[in-house]
Amino acid sequence: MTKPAAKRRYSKTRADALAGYGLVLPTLFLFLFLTVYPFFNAFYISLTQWDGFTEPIFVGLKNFRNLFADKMVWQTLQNNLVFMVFTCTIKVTLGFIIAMFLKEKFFGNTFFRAIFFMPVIMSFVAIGLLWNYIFNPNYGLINSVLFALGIMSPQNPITWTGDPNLAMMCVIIVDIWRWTGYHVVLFMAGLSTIPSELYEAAMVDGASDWNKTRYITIPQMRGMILTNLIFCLTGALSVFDLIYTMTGGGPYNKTKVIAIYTYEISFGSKNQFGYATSINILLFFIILIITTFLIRAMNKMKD
Amino acid sequence: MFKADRLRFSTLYLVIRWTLMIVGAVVILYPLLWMVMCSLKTDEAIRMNMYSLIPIGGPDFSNYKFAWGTANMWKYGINSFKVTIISLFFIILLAYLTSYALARVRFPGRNFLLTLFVTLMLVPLGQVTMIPQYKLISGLGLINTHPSVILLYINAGIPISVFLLTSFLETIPRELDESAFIDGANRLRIIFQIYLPLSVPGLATVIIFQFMNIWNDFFTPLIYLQTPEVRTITLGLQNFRHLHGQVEYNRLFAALCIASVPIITVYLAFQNLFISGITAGSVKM
Repeated sequence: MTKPAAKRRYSKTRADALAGYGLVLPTLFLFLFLTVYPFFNAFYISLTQWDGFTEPIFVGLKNFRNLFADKMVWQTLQNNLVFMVFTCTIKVTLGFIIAMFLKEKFFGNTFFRAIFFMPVIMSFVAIGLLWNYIFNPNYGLINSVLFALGIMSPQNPITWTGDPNLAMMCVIIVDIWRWTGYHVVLFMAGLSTIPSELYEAAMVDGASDWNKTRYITIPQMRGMILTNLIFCLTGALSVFDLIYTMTGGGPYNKTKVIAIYTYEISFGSKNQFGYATSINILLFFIILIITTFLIRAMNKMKD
Repeated sequence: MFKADRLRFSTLYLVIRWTLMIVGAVVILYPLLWMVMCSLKTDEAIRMNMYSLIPIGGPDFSNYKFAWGTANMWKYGINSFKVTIISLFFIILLAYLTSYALARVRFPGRNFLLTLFVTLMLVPLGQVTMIPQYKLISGLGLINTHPSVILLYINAGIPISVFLLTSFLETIPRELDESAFIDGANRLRIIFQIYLPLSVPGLATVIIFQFMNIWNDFFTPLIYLQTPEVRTITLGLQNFRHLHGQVEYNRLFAALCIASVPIITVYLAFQNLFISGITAGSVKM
């Protein structure tokens, strides 16, 4: 009696397995071809000198030796770091505060949420071009208001993105302008998962609003804060569109980030594809270390 | 006394809240409104007053004529549309089949695949695979053709789509399969006739997320699409940076409006869908 049943189950699992493989096969094939192979191939290309047209020439670890001696690599990494620290701190803090206000029901709260999220759906190219004209020294929005108010003379305008000391600040402002709404929405989703019993219990104890935030909301939101940070940090380390559009990395390399640099030395003009790949590998490991660290921290918190 | 304290606190609270909301809304809306309004200004009007929102002498649509026709925005728009739609179709098809297998079929290696997709979603490989992919695609002779970017979009879009769809499909009750099996339906019928209609909300999330990513992408076309005939809309916008530096920016703004206003309008109509679509990946983590 038991034998046929067992046999039937066996054949069903086999059919299941076949169906499973059949369904994932196209995706898997694409993946091996366009992600897995290129990923491993990157390590080989990083050991070669390649101009993008002819066959790569194997040069061993030369690219990596050059990389550590290349001042531009460290300067661009430093620019990424400055960009990351400022944008992430401000976006995540501001996003959290706005979400705290917006989670309360008041007239217009969905309207404000819609407005804050609006720049997220636009392309960074469009946003960068728009802000180029907001910052334009001669006929930009900011300066023409300052001229009209008599604060600044048209003969001696602030050049904003053209000023080596202000350019980084300008791209940071635009990045914050674009992404804050994204963090607002993530935090709102997180806030809505905090059990209301916690607040009710605190209310019975007569806790102030500040204490409720300090002792309930922030500890409960730790995981969400880390999620926000992961997306923000990896985004800041690979930022390209915004800076390419607004400053192109200038003036005097003050806003040149690593993605702009590797683009320049590969597709841009210099055709050093092998060297660019070695820098990309360095960046990959930096991002990997940061993400792993944050995910570890997040998992620890969940326990 | 307690009451007075509370009252004072809540007044302060309200002041802070409304200041933040109104300042925030103005900071975001003013540049966008300025963009729309300047695109309707004549050269004359823009020289007279740069920061005002009112196009003196009434709205003027010649900038749109220029951007749409002379600057070829229509062509770039069609290219973007084509690339986006084809990529979306394949992302949805492949990700849906994969997700169904991961959520509903038991087979060895399933957990490994799930972990792989989550990892790939979190660790951005785009940077490191960029040049090897270029080597591969140029080896296939696809440089400067739409299939090059389409292939890369499909590849890049799948991990997060699989992640989202798998977690969505897992919420559909399992009994559905079993009863359909008993009724004699085969796998493909279950996948396309029973699961597909139920997956619409999950698919909508994926579609919106991927649509935004592909439509707004700049880096991939920058590398792969070189001649004007194949360029997409974000590259078309960049043209204005080089070609029209001295031209009044009302024309550029008309192009920016052509690229952004339709999507913003759709967003305003389906706000919640957009917000959950774009943030779903990070919220579910």
